Amino acid sequence: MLKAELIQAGPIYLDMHFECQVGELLALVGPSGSGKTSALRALAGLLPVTQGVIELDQTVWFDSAKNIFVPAHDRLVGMVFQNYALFPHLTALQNICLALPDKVGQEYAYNLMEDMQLVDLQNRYPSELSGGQRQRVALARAFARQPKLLLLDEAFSAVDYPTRKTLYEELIKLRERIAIPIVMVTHDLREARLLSDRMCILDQGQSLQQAPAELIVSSPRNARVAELVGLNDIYSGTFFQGPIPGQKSDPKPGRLLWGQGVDAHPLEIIDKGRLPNQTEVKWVIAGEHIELMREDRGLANTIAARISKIRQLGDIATVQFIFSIAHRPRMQIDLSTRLVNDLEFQLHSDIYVRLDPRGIHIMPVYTNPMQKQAEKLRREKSLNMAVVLLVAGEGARLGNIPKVLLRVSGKTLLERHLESMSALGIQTCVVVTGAYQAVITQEIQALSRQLPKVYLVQNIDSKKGQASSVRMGLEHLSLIVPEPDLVIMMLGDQPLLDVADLRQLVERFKVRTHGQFVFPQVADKRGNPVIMSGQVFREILLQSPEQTVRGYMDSHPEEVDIWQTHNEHFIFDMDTPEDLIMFQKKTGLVIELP
Amino acid sequence: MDWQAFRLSLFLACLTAIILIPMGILLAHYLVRRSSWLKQFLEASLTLPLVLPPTVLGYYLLVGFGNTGFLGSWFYELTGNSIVFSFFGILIASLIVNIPFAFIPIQRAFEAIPIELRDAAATCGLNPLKRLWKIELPLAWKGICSATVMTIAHTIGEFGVVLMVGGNIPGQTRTLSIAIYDRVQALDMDGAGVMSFCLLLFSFVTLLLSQILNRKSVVRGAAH
Repeated sequence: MLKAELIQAGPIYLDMHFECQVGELLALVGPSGSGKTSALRALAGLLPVTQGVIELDQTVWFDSAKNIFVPAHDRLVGMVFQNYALFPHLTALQNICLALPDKVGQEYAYNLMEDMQLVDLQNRYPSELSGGQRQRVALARAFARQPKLLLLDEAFSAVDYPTRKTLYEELIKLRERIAIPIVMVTHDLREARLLSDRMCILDQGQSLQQAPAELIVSSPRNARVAELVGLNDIYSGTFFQGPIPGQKSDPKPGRLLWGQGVDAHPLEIIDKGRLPNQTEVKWVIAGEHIELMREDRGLANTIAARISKIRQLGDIATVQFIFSIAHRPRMQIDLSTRLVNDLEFQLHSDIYVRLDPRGIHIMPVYTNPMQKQAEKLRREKSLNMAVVLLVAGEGARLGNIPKVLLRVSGKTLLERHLESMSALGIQTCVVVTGAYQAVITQEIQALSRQLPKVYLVQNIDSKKGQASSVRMGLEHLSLIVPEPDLVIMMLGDQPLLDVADLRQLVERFKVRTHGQFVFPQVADKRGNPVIMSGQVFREILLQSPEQTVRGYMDSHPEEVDIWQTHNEHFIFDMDTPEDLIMFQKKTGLVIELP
Repeated sequence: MDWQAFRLSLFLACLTAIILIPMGILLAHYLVRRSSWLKQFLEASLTLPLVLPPTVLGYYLLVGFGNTGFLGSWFYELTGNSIVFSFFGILIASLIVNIPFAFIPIQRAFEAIPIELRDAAATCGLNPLKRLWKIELPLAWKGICSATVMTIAHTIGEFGVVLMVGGNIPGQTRTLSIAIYDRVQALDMDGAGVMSFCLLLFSFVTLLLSQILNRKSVVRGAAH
C-alpha cells in the first residue's frame, strides 16, 4: 500500500494526505494549480518536499523526520507523462529497453511490445509514431521498469478521444496483469470516474476529500468539493439542529433555512450530527430525491414552483423550474421524456416540487481566499457603536451592594468596563442605574481619565425587571445617538469580560451572515452582552413601549445569530458569594466589597 | 607556407577544445537546473571574454602571468620557466578567450532538453551519470559539436591576445594568424596570401561540416 503525506509551505504550497492500495487506481483530481502534478512528482522523487512521509509497503522512500530521501532512480516507479517524454534519439524498442532493470533480459521488453501491439513499430523513432502509438510506448516503458508504483500524469490528455478510449482499455488490461498501486493525475472528471477506484479531490495544494467517485459526487464534503466535481445546483442556507417548530420528523430532525435573512425558506432535513447549530452551509440534492408533482400532497418540503425551461434530448428531458419562494431559486432535473409528457408539463406550468429530506446533503461553507478577504474588510470596517450598561441590580444575594462597584485589584468593575469601551473606540455609554444612583454617580465623577461619555438614567421601579431597564436605556440612547450602527447591551456584573472579549463579539457581529442580533452562547447557556444592529434598534423603539428586546428576539429567531463559543467570560456573573469565591479562585485576584 | 605555424595553430586549437569542451559539459550540466544568483554570476563572468577587447584581455593576462605578476612569479618559482612568451602561455590565453565559445552553445543545448525527458530518465532508473551519458549527451550533441567547431575555428583565428601574451617565437608561439601578420610586415604578400587562403578554406570547411552534423541531429530530434 502506498501512503503519502506531503506538507510544504512554499514555493508550491502542499498539504495532502492520501493512500492507495495495491491493485487500486487512485485519481488525483483538481483544477490547474491544485498541486496534483507536484504531488505526483514528489511521489516519484523528482520534487523534494519539505515535510512528510512517502511509504510503499514496508519501504520508506521519504521521511522528513528521519532524514530519508530515496532519489528518483532508486524508487521503483513507472511514470507516464502528458507529452509522452520519449527519448527522441532512441527507437521505440531502445526506449523500452532503457527502463529494464539490470537483471531482466530483452525478452521482457519484447513480450511487453507484443502485448501492446508495438512489435511492428519497434525500430521507429518517436518522431515517426502517432500520438497514440507514442503513449503506448511510454506505457510499455513505464511497465518495463517492473515498477512497484505506477504514476500517470495527465497521460491521456494529449491524444484524441478514440485513441484515448483504446488507451483506457490498454491500461485496464495491464492492470489485470500487474497488481500495484496506480496514482493518476487528471483534470478530466469523466476520465477519473471511469478509471479510478477512488478519487482524491485537490484544491490549492490541499487534499479535500478522498472517496470512491460516486460517493464524492453524491455527498461532497464541502461546497468547494461540490463545485470541483461539477455539481451545478449548489444552494446556500443555514443549518439548525432540531425540528421546525410545530413539525414532527424523524429520524434525527434538523432544519435548513434555505437562503438568507428574512427571505429564507425552512426545509426539513436529517441531522447527521456532524455540524454545530446555526452553521452556514451549502447544500445539494441528488436528482433521484427530487419529485415533481401536479398537486400538493401535503408532504414535507413540498414547494410550489413554475417551469421556466424544458429541453428535450431524445429520451431525456431537462426541466428547469423556479421555486415560488421569496428568493426565487432555480433548480433543474433530468426526467424521462415520457414522464414529462404524462404529467403534461409545459413551459410556465405550475407544479409542486418535493425535496426528500433524505436526499438533501449539506456541507459547511468552504472559505476561499476571496471570501476571507471580504471577511477581513468587514471585520476592519469602523462602526458607530454605543453601549447600554445595566447596573440596576441591587445585589440582593450579596447583601445589598451595588455589584458594579466591586473592586478588583483596586479598580471597580464600572471603571474596567468603561476602559474596555474606550479601548474599542466606543464614544457613548448610557448607564441604567437603580437604587444606587447616587453612589454610582459619585464613582463616575471620580473617574478622571479619558473614558466614553457617560449618561446616567435611573430606573426607579427596578421591580419591573431587566427588560424595562433595557428599554429605558435604549430610549435614552436614541435621544443622544439617533442612528448608531450597533448597540451593545452589557451587564455591569460580568467581572471577567474584558476588551478582548468585547472585540471578539463585535467582530462576530461584523462578519455574521444573517440576523440583526448577535449573542454569545456557551454550551446551552445564553451569554451576554447582546449586540443589536442600529436598524433593529430603531425598529424596536417605534413599537409599543411594552416591546422588549428579548421579546423581539424571540419572535424573530431568523434575526438572531447565536455565536457558539467556549469563552466563559460571557456567562460568568456575580450573583452570589459563591460566585465571588469562584472568581477569586479562577483569577487569583482579590475582590473588595464597596 | 609556414607549416610549422600551421601545425602549431592546429595543435593549439585541438588542445584548447579537448580541455574546454569536457569542462563546458560539466559546467553546463551543473548549471542547467539551477536558478540562483551563483548561476547569474557565473554566466556573466563566463561570457565576459566575448565582449572584452582582446587587447584588454591580453593586458590583464600579461600583468597576471608576467614574471612579476602574482601567478607568473609563482609559476616561475615552481618551474623556473615563465608563462608569458611560451606555448603554455598562449594555451592558457586561448583557453580563457574561448570559454564563451565552448560554454554557451553547450549550455543552450542542455537547457533545450525538456524537463520531462530528464524526469523520464530518472524514473527509468538511470542514475545521474547514466542520464548524462545516455540521454543528455546524445540530445545535446548538436550544441557540443558547434561548441567544438567554434572553439577550434576561433583559436586558429585568434590574434590579439596571442600576440600580446605569446609574442612571435617560431615553433613556440607563432600561430598561423601571427605568421600572416609577420609576412605582411615583411612585405611578403604572396606568402601571406597563401596562408590566408588556407585559413579561409579551413574555416569554411569546418563550418560546413558542423552545419551538416547539426542537420542530421535536427532530423533525429524532430519529435521535440
